Amino acid sequence: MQVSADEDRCVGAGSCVMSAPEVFDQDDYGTVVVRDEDPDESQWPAVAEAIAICPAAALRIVRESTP
Amino acid sequence: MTDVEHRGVPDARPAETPAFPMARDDLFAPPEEYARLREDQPVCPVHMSVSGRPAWLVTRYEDVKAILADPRTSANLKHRGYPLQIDAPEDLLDTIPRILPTMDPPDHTVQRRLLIPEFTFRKVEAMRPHIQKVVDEHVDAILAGEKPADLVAKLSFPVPSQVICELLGVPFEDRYLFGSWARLLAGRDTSQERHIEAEMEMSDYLDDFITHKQKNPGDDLITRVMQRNEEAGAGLDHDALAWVARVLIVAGHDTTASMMSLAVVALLRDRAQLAELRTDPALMASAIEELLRYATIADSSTGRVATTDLEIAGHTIPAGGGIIPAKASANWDPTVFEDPERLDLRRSPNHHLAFGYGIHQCIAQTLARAILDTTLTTLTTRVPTLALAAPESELPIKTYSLVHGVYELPVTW
Repeated sequence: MQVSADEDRCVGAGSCVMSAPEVFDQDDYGTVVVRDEDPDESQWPAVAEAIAICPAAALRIVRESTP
Repeated sequence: MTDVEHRGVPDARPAETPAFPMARDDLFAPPEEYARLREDQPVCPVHMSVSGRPAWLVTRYEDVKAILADPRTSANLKHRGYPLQIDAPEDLLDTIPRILPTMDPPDHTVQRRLLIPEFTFRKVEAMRPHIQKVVDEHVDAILAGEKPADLVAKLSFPVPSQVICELLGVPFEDRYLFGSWARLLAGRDTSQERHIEAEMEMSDYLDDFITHKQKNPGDDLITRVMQRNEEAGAGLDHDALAWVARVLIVAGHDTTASMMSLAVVALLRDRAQLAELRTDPALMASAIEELLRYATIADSSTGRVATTDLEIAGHTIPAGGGIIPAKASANWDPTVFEDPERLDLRRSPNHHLAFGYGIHQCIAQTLARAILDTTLTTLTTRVPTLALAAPESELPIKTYSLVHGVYELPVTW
């Protein structure tokens, strides 16, 4: 899974950090930082939750390109 | 029906539409009409009681969420079509600058970015010891005082008030002023006169406060916002800074206080789940989300105006039309939340909209959660015998308030 965050959309709510603190963080400006772009399967439900609740729809899973 | 003056969409006939707001006289359940509306009239023409203005009430979860995220809506409360609920005269509204919750991009984006760094996870975590200290002081005073005690006056209101004022750098002795202004300004039942008075008193105070901060910078949010304003060239002038302070104060008082009171009532009702909370402190995080959903104190705080014709649930809202996305209705939508009338502290998933959604979602939600968490954890551990000192049915409910809650909460232990 490739997790991607759009910093321009981010409104700093921090919901992603609440849902998946191993995967998301906030920088000093409050903007999302993806700590782990390719999280382990155990994190996938938490990542899915983060994506669902992000108020700015700033998070998504990017399809990995096929070779 | 009396003739009502209405501004806005020419074809609406406000006298024939239901009045908004509707009575919410249960402690938690949203107005009972919402259930029928979700089924039969998910986009319902209403008229605002206070002004007669027409608007559209949206009640289904998916539609509420969609509206709150829709860039074709404006949050501008000065717009003729905005579903205004307060009895403020138009000429007063005209004089106030746009404030964060009522601003639209790109101005909104600039201002929000000045504030976001103040409410990050790390910042709020760093505040926790201080929040704990404030809570402990207030609980100490309650336990040392008479029974019964009014939790609204002794805990729910003063704790968030003190935390916010200290965060902003407001002098300790002045913090009670804000509680009183905040209560007035958030009340639907505040008379126009009293509203204007409170507005002016608060404006004068904050005007002086900003001047003071400019000359005496401190380790506080206002000072940092001023610095960021300079560095980013965001161009906020003296008045705009005073309004930034003001919106944080007003937005954070009544809301957190109401939530705290209602959370206590909900927990005291359900001894079994309360006992689980005590034995399993890790449950508190999901418990708070459920309490937020259950109470949804700010049902209709997020008024919007359509900037183009919008279609929702097969209905067209014309450009300029006011929209009321009812968050309490969304949070009790049974197609999303199974048995929504049941408080389930372990409810999962729980993607409630209590803090709103979209670009205006509550900026201080992390702080609000931390204040609630600290207070409820402290109460459940230090006051295990806490009980209501009056029957629930006698708790005075803010039936028509912009922020749902109770006026008093007598407790004993």
